[in-house]
Amino acid sequence: MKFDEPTLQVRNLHKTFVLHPQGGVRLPVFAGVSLAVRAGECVALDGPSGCGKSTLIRCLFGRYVCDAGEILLRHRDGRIDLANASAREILEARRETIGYVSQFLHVVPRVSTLELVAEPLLQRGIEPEPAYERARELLLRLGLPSNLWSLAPATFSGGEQQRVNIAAGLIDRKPILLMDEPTASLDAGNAQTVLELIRTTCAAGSSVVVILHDAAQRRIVCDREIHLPAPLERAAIG
Amino acid sequence: MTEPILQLESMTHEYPGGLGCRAVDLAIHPGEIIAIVGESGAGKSTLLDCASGRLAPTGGRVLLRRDEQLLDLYTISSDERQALLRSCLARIHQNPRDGIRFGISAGGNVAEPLLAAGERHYGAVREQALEWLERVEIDRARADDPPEQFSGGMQQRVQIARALVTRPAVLLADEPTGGLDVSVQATLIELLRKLVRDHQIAMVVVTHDLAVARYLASRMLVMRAGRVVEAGLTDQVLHDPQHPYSQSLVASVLRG
Repeated sequence: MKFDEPTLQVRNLHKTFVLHPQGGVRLPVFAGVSLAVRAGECVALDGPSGCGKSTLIRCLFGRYVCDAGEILLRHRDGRIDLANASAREILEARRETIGYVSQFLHVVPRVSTLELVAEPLLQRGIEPEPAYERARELLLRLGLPSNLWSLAPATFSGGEQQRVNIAAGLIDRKPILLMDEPTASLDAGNAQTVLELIRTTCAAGSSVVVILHDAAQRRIVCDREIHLPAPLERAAIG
Repeated sequence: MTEPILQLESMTHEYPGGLGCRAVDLAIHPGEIIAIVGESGAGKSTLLDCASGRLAPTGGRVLLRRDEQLLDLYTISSDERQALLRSCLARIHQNPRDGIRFGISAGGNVAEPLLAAGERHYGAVREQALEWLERVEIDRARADDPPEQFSGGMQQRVQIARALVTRPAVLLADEPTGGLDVSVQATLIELLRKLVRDHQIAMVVVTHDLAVARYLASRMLVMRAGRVVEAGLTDQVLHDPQHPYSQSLVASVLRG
């Protein structure tokens, strides 16, 4: 493998939703998306509302099923095509290679904030004390008051939940990180911290693909933008 | 990657009156939780009965790994099968009455499988039983009380301790949170998740509750009329279901 080969390469990706309970209505989202991201690079997905930015990110994480195309990740000593991998291979890639910070926190009842943030490390077999120590560092950096750490985040504000989500997404640095509007619910100060954390992640060698609506934020953090074309005409074909 | 510990190969069970489950393929690895979802009559419980050695499939195979060897559950002798199941596999039922004995104490319930497995030292058995009660968050002081005096959630936790005390590699759970209050469900799910993670157990959980599948399982199977209609990552099946039946199943619950 050549050193400068992209860590993430998407080739000719197609996605159409087929809604069976509604008579098989077809909703084409994109057809023929290609992109490449190198180690240490931060790229923003850009394009008009409805062009499929979030859908593309979810495809890249294996959450959405693609109809055609390839999602090649540099994984272990080779490459894996996430668009055509088995469920277990995708889980392995998620443990080691690709991370995703969704827009909203998925709250698990009764699990404390600290445990939730440390979970990716615990899952990988890291000892509890260093895992919790790292979680505390990140929460501190993100300005989440320490009296909240022992609570489950169900009752937190949108901005607090988003910071918990970001901490959980960043605690175990992956070579590829996908982020969907990580600053959407944050005030300017907290947004600035998140942008700095993204830069730190890239400086450590990760590739970051991010959706950011604020053009000024994109200019601060992103090396370049990838423009997705306008949404495909949403014809109901039945 | 590790080797699968339990493998179903084209497993089929046909009842005289009709179909239980047909051509189910599944391989589960240590530390993994797989959810099987679907409505009543989809064949979920038949699948568990076959996989747990209680019901011989009419087609296909059930393979269980012990000491680097895959054993076909229904071609070995019935003595061998009983010994294999006792040492490797445990099951928990929706109704605690099916999994624990109400005539003996909570501690006795947890100790019993150890005695059945040949453990003879009374002090060691009692200490292990007490440790497992603590692991499922039941106070040692309650060990001598009969489960009859426990709440439904506590009874279910006694059942979990009884199932896991012999350190089985595989745990099969049939609607483990069915019939419990929502808050009790949440505690139980979190408890199961941690025990499976810490002890690297392979777990199959049958449920009709998609939230249980979402919290517990990394992969899931959707069954309908005896067949697996969709299998995949839990988040994929819940966010982008492909099969018409999975789509209607996911659409029928509130999204959050």
